[in-house]
Amino acid sequence: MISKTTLKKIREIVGSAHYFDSPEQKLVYSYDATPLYEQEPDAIVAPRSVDQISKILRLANSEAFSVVPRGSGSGLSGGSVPVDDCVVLLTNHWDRILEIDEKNLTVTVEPGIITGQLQSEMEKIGYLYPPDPGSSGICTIGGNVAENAGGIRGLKYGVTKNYVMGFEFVLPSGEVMMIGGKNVKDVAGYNLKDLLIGSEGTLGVFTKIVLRLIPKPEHSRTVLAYFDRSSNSAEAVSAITASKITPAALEFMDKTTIRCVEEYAHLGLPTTIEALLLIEVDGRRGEVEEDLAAASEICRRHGAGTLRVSQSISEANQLRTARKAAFAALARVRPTTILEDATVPRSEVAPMLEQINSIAAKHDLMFGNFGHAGDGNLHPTCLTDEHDKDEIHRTELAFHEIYSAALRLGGTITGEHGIGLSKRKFLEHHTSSTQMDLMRSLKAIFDPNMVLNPGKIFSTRPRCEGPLPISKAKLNKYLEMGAYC
Amino acid sequence: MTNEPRHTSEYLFADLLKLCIHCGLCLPTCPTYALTKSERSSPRGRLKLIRHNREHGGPFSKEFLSEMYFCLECLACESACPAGVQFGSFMESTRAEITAQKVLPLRTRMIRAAFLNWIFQARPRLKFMSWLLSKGKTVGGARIFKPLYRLGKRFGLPVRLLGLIPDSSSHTSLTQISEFLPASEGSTQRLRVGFVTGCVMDISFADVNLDTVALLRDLGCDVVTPKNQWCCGSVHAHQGELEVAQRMAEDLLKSFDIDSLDAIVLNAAGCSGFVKKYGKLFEADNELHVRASAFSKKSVDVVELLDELLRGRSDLRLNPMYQNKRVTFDDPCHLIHAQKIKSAPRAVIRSIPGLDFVELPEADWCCGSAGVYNITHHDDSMKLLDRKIRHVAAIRADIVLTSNPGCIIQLKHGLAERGLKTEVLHLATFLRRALAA
Repeated sequence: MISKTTLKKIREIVGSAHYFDSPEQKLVYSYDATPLYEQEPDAIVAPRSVDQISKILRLANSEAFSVVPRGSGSGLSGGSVPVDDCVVLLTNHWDRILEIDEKNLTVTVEPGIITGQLQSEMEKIGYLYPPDPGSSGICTIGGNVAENAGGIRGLKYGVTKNYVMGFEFVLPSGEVMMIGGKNVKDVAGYNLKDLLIGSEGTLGVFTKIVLRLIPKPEHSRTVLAYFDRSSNSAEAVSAITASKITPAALEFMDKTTIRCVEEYAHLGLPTTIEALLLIEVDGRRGEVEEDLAAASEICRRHGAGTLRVSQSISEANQLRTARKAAFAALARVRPTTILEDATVPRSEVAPMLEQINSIAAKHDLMFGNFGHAGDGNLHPTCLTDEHDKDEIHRTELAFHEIYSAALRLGGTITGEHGIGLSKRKFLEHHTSSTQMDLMRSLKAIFDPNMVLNPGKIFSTRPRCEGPLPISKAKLNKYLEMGAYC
Repeated sequence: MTNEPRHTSEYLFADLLKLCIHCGLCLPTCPTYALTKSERSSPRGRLKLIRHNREHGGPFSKEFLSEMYFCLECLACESACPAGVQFGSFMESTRAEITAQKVLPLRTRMIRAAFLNWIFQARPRLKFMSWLLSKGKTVGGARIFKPLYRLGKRFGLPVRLLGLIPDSSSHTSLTQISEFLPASEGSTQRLRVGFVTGCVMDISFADVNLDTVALLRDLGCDVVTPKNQWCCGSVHAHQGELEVAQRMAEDLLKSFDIDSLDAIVLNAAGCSGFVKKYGKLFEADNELHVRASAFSKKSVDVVELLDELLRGRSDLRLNPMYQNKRVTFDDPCHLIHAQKIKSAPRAVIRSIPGLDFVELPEADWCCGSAGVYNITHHDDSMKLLDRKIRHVAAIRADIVLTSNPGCIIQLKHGLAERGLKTEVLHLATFLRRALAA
């Protein structure tokens, strides 16, 4: 519990209109989009200036409470789920576009702008901001930078970090700093920019972000390829990559996912096929038609029964939107939906899918598989029930095996969701202690008092990190965890 | 373990509430979240509040109550939800629980009781009320009613809302529609349909009802309009007065000879959406369940029926008066979100040659009317209306079409406030006028 006097000071910084601590408010900021994790904060603040953020962080250092930044709360690893003794710091009301610089092809935004809104504003004037996470309709740019969000255009256009040129941010100490800017090239010192991108809100709070734009491709087409065998579709993916075609999106969905998506979106997808690929190509008109024909031919050669070419932009948009809703659509099936993002080099998609299926069968679990097949970023999603302790235990074992399999194939345990709370255990398990120590040391340099989003990425170890607990309850809790002995 | 996905209909109510995995995909579609950017005013936040209350009990707090009534119940979140969470049923049952516990302020309860349990209970009362209010709008009326307004204002009655009051027709539609009207001569008769005249539609939109019947007859329908019918109860149910709604529904069910009809037509989206759920309103153990289900099954919104009747007809001619008029369609929430009817009205309009049909941006967003929302939450409602009217102005529409009385009133008000000349018409009225004989 943060003491009443401290809460009063926090309230004075932001003003009563932007400070909330009613039971209802605490309840609705106790979660993000991550299953199984929730905790109520002590208070919520919606600061109106950089100065206020800075003051809150200074106060956090002197009065020993934590600060958890939150955009729209659509993260999938618990990055914005509250921790002990914390205030949630909202940024979603800072949603303006500050500057569009057409000579440098950059746009400067506030952190709370919705990614999809930015995209549509940019498309109106002929530009593309490519990173396109599944939650683009609601996620914020600030959150995207903090998580280094990926999405369905990763294969051709890369991820968020490829489009961040610089930002202003507040350090955990309360100091304000600008890193990067509009320079295409910039090698002055260590690349701190890339350290902050994907730091999951543990190293700083973004307050202004400069993003890179590219000219909007002239033309784009989408085709769906239906397969009666899942392995055929994975082989088609490798063949497309090998044929030197780079689609803007190359997405995979298995039977369970197709059924759920169809039940939600009513797009006329066949529910009897085993897998489908959604292929989107963009670029100059002639090039697009050529690539589309070539990709279609490859699919056909690998056993695609039917090819459905979208006839209009709205149909293509519908297909893409439906694919982006796949994760939530799977929630129709069972009470708990656990989505992961084990990722492998793209050549290993077929063996990875095979492994996931056999692990699921071994533990008698139900999985829906979909993902960004083109860039190797898969989303094995376990459809389970959190009330069934045995099944949850088996789920955990299965995910451990899936991660091990991904690592054996040269992959990683998370492609785009981050570690947050939900994958700390796996990170610890699958990463060398030297690397873990290096990461912990970095965190300690930025945030010696562990005030900014502590306990994310790796759990704080009370034995050697952070201030000594003030309250007796907390001391006992740490003792129970085996600290100080 | 079976690998077959279960259908959501197989879940119990409590399970259904858990279907929400708080992914947040509903947030960008929620008008109240757009107004506040506050999580508690989002569908995800509200579901969390409801779920917490169900699981932990406890009294309804002030904040909880205000949030439950801040919601427009436009159900845009239901359309957006990939997991198929039925937000509307949770909201309705929560409001019913609030009503049952009598926790709203006394003044609110009294006003609601006066309207829902008294005025809306009988045609003459609603008609008198409507007459009184519409008289009050006139210059002469304003003078006479001034003391009354002042009195009303003292008690916090929403007297500033005169612009939202519909005109009172001199005769209700029911007095002008015979019990049985055969299909027009020369039309190829295909269907025998029942027609629900409704409450507000009957009194304030009598013309729309007459147009609907005439149009259906021209398109080959025998129209049966029972004389002893009244309100379907949707107004009450949406406000959480489920028992009253059931009583109203019971009367309506009994006034129709369901088996003799091919379809039962309603021309207010709020009502057609509600009667389609009669089967659920009277649960399986209720003696009226079978009858109610049969009624629901035959119920269609007039837009759906028109789509069916006009499909494939190439002989339609446009009244030259409407040549090249720019028309658009604003989706009533209870049509597009509650009933998932999106393409039908567009297909109907496109089937008429010579019109310039333009999509209205954010046509699926609530205009802020939402039953009595523009009275209970006037300022927020007007913000949403402003957003809507800006889109109408941007596409320079000559005529905005829609199919729900609340939306018509609200849109007319917004356009008048802005001094725009765009006309607002019910789709049935428009077709009646625009289709040359």
